[in-house]
Amino acid sequence: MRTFYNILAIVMFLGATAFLPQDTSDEVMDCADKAGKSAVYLKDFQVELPAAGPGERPPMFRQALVLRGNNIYRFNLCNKQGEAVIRIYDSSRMLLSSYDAASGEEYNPIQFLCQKTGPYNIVITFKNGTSGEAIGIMSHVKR
Amino acid sequence: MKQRSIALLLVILMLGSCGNRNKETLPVSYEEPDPDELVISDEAMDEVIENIASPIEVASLLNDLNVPFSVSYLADPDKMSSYATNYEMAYYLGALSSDLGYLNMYNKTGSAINYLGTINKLTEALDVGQFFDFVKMKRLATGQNTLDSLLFVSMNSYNQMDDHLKATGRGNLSALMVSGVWLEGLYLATQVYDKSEVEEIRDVIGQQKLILNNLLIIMEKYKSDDYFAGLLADYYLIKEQFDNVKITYEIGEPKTVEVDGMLMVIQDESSSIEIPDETLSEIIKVTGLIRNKHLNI
Repeated sequence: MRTFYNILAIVMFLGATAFLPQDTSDEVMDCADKAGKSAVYLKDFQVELPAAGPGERPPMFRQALVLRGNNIYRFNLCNKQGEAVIRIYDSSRMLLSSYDAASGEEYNPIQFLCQKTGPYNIVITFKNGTSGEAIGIMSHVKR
Repeated sequence: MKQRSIALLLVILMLGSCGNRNKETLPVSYEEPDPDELVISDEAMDEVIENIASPIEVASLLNDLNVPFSVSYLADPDKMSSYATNYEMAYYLGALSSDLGYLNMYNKTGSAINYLGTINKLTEALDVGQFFDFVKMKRLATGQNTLDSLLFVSMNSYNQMDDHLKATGRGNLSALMVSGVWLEGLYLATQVYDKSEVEEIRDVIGQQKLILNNLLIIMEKYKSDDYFAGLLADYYLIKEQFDNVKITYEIGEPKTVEVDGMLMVIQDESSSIEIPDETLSEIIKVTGLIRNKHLNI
C-alpha cells in the first residue's frame, strides 16, 4: 500500500509541475537574445493558436502597434510548437513576411526599415493552419 | 498486484494527457488574413494598439546620432512622491521610465539607481510592483557587462506593467503612463534639438504629430475625469503647434535587401516633414512648460 501512495505522490507531483508555467520572462529573454547584435528588445508577442478547422482560414494573432519612421525594427520568432510566420501590414497591404510560400524560404530574423510613422498590424499565424505556440520579438536596431 | 496495476494505470493516464496536443496538419491552404480584420477603429484603439510611446526609442536614436548625454534633460525623481494620487503616480511612472531608458541607452547605469528607487515606490503604490524586480535591476545597474540584460529587464517590466493595468480594468492609468512616456521623450528630443540643431532630430520631432494624434484618441476616452481634462487641455496646446507641421508621403513599393546576412524590407515611401522655424520654437517652448508643470519642476 505504501508503494502505491509513493507512486501516486510522485505522479501527482510530476503532473502538477508539468503544468506550472515556466517563468515567461526567461523564455522571452532567451528569444530576445536570439535577435542578434545591435538589437534592443522592445516588445514580445506570446502566441498560442488552435488548429484551423477544415476549410477555415488559419487562426491568427494580431497586434496593432505604432512604428516610427527612419527606424529599423527586427522581428524574430522562437517556435515551441508548429512553425510560426510573422507578417507586417500597413492600412492596406502586406509589407513583410518571414516566410515566402512560393520559394519555401524562411527569414528569421527579418528586418524592416520603417519610413512612415503610424499604426501597423503585426500578424502571426502557423504554417498550414496547424495549432502552434511561439514567441515573437520586436527589437529596435541600433545603427 | 491490484494496487500496482492501479498505479501503473494512473501513470499512463497522466503521461498520456501531457502530450495531448493537436499536431496533425489540416487540409487548409496557406492564406493571408482578411484585410477587413486589420482595420483599427478609434474606439478600440486603446485596447489594441501598442507601442504608442516607447521609453527607449527616442533615446536610442539620440545615441545612434552620437548626441552627447546630459543629465540636465532628466526629471528629478525626488519631486515625484508616492503620496500623490494614482493618476499622478501613473504619469510619473511613465516619465521616469522614459528617463530610465535614456540613462540605460547611454550606459549611465550608476545614475539610474536613484530613478530605480522612485520607480519601485511608484510601482508598489500602483499595485504593479510584482513586475518590477528592484533588487535584480539594481544588481544589473551596478554590474559589469550587464547593460543588455538591464535594457531587456527594464523594457520587459514596463510592458508587463502596461499589460497588467489594461487587464485589470485600469486602462486609464495605462493611458497616463503612456502619456508620461511620450511627453518626456518629446521633451528630450526638443531639448537636444534646441542645443544641437541636428536635422534628424527635427524630423523626429515632426513625426510626433502622428503619434500625438493617436495618443489624444486614447486620452479622450477618459476626458470626463477632471485630471484627464486638465492634462488633455495641456496636450491640446501642444497639438495646436503640431497642426502647423506638414507631413506628406509618396507611396512606393517596398524593396528588399540583404544586410549582414539578414533580409531587410525597406518601406519605399519618401516622406517630407515641414516644420516652420517659428512652429518648432513654439513646440520646444510649450513642451517644456507642460512637461515641467506635470512633473512639479
